[in-house]
Amino acid sequence: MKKYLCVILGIFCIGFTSIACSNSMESGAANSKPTPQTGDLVQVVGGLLPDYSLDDLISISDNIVIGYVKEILPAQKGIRKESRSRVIYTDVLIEPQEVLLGEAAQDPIIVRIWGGKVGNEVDMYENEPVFTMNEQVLVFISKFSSVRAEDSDDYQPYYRVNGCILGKYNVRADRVYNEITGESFVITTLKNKVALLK
Amino acid sequence: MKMICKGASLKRMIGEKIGGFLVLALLISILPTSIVMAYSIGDYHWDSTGTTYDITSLPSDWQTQVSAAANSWNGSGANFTFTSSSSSGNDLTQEYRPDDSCIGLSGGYYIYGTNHWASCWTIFNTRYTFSTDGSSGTYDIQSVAVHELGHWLKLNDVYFWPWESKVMYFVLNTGTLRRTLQQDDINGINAIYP
Repeated sequence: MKKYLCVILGIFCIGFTSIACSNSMESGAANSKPTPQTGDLVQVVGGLLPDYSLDDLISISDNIVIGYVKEILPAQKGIRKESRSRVIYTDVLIEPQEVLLGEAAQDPIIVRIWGGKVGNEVDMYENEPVFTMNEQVLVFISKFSSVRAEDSDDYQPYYRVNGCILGKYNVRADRVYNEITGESFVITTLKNKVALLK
Repeated sequence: MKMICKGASLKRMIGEKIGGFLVLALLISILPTSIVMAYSIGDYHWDSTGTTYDITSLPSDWQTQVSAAANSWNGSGANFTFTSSSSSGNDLTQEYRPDDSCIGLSGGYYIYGTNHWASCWTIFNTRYTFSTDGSSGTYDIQSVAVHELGHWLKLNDVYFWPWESKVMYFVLNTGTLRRTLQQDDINGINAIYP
């Protein structure tokens, strides 16, 4: 009976925590997901991702970084170098704490995600990772300069998360968790794999 | 003494059964609806019972594959039909997007506060290698197209194992054919366009 009581209490704790977390996301914790208002023109973008394994993510990434989300900048309109098409993007500034692969060339690191709200235009990308202020994350990233701000001629460098939602993990103690896939591993395991693969 | 032991054992057994039932009831009650239904749909959809799509900028063998993907959805029994038209504003194109991890991506528009979905597009990201037979190291065009057209219809990605056979599963491997709608994909589209 004690065993069952423990399980029931455990389930209540998990349920309460998840409800509390979802409430905090909805009720104010600033995150990178845009919030449309009535009358806004909303573009919703979905896609299909490569089935990247952990080994794949390591091999295609320039950097693997653990850090804190320091700031989420206002969304901007941008232009793609290759196609000249428009895009709305949001830059997330990550304060690096530990670089597991490569060298952090930026401090803070600018991680660019597609989507955001500019005026009454909102772009929502279903596969882009969502970053919340002050959360501790582990990201698999690579450097690009293919999109410039609409009001600038310079293609400034930025980082993109490889595999979109597959390449962003939340850090809790010595482990990391992917909120979408549920995948979890110990950071030391990742360090060993990086040493082996790179 | 023996009777007391038996009574205690019976009590424990009943207690365990009640405990087991409570655990099961709680598990069922906290399961989100999305896990029970193996499809996910948006809050908005096409007003009409069909739309056109333009594939004229794609290579001819890709056009055949995309049309086959559209026909898969047309044969799902839902009240919605895709029709190929070179004058459609809804384009499927290819584009090189080095900084985008998506193999294919699709978008469409609606005015927030309404549920009127319109004007869709799809891009096949030529950062990756495609083929028409899903050969090793390539992504099968038809498998990607059937997924992307699912987004046009406002089916969302599904994420959980063991749903990887469904066309709306969020990832695809190279060398894999995933062209056939599964029952959950069909149920999803019929829920939106009955």
